[in-house]
Amino acid sequence: MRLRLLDLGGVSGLRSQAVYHALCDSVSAGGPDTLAILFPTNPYVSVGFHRDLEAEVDLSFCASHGLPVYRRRVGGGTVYLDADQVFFQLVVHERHVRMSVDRAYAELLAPAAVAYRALGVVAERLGINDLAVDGRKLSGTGMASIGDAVVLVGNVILDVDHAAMAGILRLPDSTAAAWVEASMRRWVTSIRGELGTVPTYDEVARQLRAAYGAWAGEPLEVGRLSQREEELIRATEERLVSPDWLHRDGYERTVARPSPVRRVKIRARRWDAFFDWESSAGSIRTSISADDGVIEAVRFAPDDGLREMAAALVGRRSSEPGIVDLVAGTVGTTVGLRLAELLAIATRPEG
Amino acid sequence: MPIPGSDPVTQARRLSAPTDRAYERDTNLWVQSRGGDLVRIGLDELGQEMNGDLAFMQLAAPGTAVSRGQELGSVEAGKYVGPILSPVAGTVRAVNQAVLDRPRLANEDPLEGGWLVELELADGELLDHLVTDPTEIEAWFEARVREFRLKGVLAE
Repeated sequence: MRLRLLDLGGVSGLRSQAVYHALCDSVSAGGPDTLAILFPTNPYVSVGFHRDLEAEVDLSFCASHGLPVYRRRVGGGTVYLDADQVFFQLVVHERHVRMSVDRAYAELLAPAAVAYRALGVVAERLGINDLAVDGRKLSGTGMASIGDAVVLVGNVILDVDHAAMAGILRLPDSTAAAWVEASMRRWVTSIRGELGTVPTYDEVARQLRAAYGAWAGEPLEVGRLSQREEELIRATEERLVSPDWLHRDGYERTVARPSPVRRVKIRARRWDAFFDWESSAGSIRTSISADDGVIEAVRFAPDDGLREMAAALVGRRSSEPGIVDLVAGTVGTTVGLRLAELLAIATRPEG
Repeated sequence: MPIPGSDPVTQARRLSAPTDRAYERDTNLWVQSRGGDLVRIGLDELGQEMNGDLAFMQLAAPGTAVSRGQELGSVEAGKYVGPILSPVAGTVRAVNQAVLDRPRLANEDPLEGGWLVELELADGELLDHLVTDPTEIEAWFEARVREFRLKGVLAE
């Protein structure tokens, strides 16, 4: 497979998103399959295609920190992106990727794992689409079919700003924000976090180029953006900053009803979640962490009369028999059924 | 327009394609007549296998007119976003709110409870570009499943 390399170096945050969208249009029109490598020179926030902007993003935090927010046509949640992340964006015609989503990730992410290893970090695929070392997430990725192209986007995290990663998220309160930040510090890592040093952009680009060249079966051909692709990128930049695209205004569509549980994915199959429920004594705010469906930590606030129940939930799955009896025994049958339902939503391993 | 045929189910190694509906050849969608010009559309079993566990979905709002091949919505699984391309021309009359609220319904029950939208066919729109004949459905689906398995697209 002939694959063109676009080593774009530092570009604006907006352009770092526009490039792969535009390359999908280019590939759909007969342009070359391409691997783009680049990094954003300014920090920004990227929200997933299906996500509710207002529910997901702390827009006032973003505004006060000068962080632009762009929506991408790729899945996943809300992410903070900055110059300490090297992006790889593989855009190929769909005929090369006629396979299941799971298999496509396995195939297309394998070269990125090879590049990580060459950089000194033993990265392995975790879940469907995370690259991780010993369970700690090293790289965020996503995919999309756009026109006749399939795009895989991912990042090599050189260094990570956990406070910013958590700060951009809209969460119920500061306790929830601290809860999420603590989880991210534990479960999201970087090359600096693993090795204590950071490779240069050129070294990362060199390893990505070698690994994807091996995958393609021949060395990548160094190329440049064509005039047409430059035009497509500029048009995409205009679209990405339009309120209609960001807020999804003007798009006649039907979506899911709002969930009663705010869930934040920390890494594959690991979630933090927050919700309120009404006990006989009033509203109870719940914070919970679950890994592969198993409750690792749970906190009720206020927790008068609930501490034993919280302790008893740890280590259990909300789907297992006995959970309804456990919570109903503490808070009563009617409230217990509702609480068990919320726990099931909060702790499910999938998205 | 009613789809001819009986109700036997075509099975190919676990996956099934009931012959009471038509199938789009490339996009893994089924189209079932609901009487008059109304059709119901959903992901076929290959489609849900290809996508994996669905996490998000959006669908065109009722009243939206779509042409054949135009985007009717999108699905998300494992941070992959893909379009749902309408297999027929028509106007959206209903969406399945249950599947929007819980997209995994389309994995668990793709042929019944996990349907996506109902469309009123556009004037003159027929289903004859789809796979409609029961015998043809059987052969087509078995061949497609076999092809996907040989390519390693699907798990054994």
